[in-house]
Amino acid sequence: MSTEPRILFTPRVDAQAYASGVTARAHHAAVLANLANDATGGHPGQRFGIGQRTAGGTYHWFYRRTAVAKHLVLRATVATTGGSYTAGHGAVLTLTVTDGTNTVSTTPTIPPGLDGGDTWQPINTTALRTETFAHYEWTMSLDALAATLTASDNWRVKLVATVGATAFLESFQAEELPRWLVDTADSYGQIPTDYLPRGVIRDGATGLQRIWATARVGYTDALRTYHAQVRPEADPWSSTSTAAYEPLGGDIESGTTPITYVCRPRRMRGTTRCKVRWRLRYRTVGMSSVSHTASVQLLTGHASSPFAVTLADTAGTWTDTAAQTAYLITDGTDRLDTISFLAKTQSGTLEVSSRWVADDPD
Amino acid sequence: MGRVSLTTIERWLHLPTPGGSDDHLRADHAGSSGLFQILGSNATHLARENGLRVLWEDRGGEFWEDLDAGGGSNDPLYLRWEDLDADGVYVRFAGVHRVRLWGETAGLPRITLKCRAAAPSTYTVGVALVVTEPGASPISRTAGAYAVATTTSTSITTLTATLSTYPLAHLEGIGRDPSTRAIEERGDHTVVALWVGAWCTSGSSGGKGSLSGPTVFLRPPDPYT
Repeated sequence: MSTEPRILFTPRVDAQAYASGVTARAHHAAVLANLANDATGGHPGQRFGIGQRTAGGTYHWFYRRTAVAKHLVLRATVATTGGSYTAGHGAVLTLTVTDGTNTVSTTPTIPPGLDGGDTWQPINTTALRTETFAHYEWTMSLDALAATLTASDNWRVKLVATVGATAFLESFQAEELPRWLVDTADSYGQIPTDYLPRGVIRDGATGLQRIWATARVGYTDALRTYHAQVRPEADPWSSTSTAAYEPLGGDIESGTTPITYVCRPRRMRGTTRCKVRWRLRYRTVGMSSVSHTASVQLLTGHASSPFAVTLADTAGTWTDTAAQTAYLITDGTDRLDTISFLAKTQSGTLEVSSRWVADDPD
Repeated sequence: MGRVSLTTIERWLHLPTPGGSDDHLRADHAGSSGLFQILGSNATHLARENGLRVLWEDRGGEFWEDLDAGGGSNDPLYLRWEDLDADGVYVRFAGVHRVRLWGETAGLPRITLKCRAAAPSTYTVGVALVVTEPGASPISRTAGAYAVATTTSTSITTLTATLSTYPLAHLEGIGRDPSTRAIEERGDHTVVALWVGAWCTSGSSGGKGSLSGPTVFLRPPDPYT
């Protein structure tokens, strides 16, 4: 195994450098290796978080483990409510991660401080509320999680936030850290100094094949999260519409129009579409027959939209859907597309607490 | 005449599976200029596209409070950032996010806030996207940038606020082995702290503005789309 640190930069590779008749030089391959390393490991795009401040709740996000990222960075911001502050109030954060079969809930894989053992408090508590914001940051090893989460790459992250009455969890956001290391033990990554002036280029891990393998991982596994909205399980989106698809309660722009969310899909092979996968966390409550179902539609700008998933009765148990396939458009105005959801149920109430749309390149 | 430069054809071309029998990069096969040009184009395009993503989204809300004194300038410095939804404001700390210069162009990607909004009759609704350094308050904004968009439409309409220039802050990222606490990798990355807010000139709960689906995302720098 060989490793080499790298800084984050994207080298410029002019096509003319590889023109016919130009003598092949070591730096041609070395620069390509640097570029492929950066394209794949330098821009991981999965993330999740809470859109707004919260006085507490239980939240779930979906995350797909891939070969690209090695660590997640998780950031929480805690503030006062702006009134009289009670000393000691803050946010207790308890994080667990599951693959649907196995669960990780203990330190040190769960970062100390996100295991429910600490109260994260605001600062300057007598100041203006915005000056009480205390920012905290943790990193979590995805390899360490994967050692236990072996049943599936489709993970779900659960956060239980217990917040004192005079404090808020102002923000909780997570994103993948970029790679600062090229490691030949990984499934991608080419060490640029494998290509030395007048040196022989060998086949295998130090050969040219690894450059293409590296870039290809960036295509297949460096995924963008286009939508990661959640609501606390105690206050989910809901639907009781039995006749027609309607917006979920709590997700209405006006009348029967759902809230739309904008994204800029990745345009890779084709010029018109971007394949994505989407998942929901849901439950049904009070269905009058076990054979009844509910349905959710994902609406995008693609000609095949809406994309629907049928949800079996769960009799009150929160359940994760399997990953569903959908498409976003990449030829919209300003290359943007929109995401929105509609739902209906044959009886009872459908509740949804998490929605996720992310890349699934074909 | 200047030299024409081409770094990518702006689309991904599949090559045969690495290590497979059709892999032209395997041992003892001559690499053509076209093959290396495709490799360079693919990776450059990938770095550009992978660098752009959604950073934050929220469902929105209703609000009625105007900017504080000085609000005529539409400067979000005067947004009531310290207040809460119940006070009639919509203000959010949208978190700290990694933002890198865009691909090999090294241009600053645009940060765009898009949302749908409506104003009460005869009043104006404004939305603001503010970038600060992590840890800085939008009120004590000493190094930051903002963009705003306004509407007087009583029908819900799309608002877009875009920042083309803004400060990037540097953070150190550290990935550790959780068992030994040994540093596995570390390095510098550039980030922004985002704030999103909205105001309504009615100043009364009898005339509410509405905002739905605010989303903040990265786009290529001008003139790219």
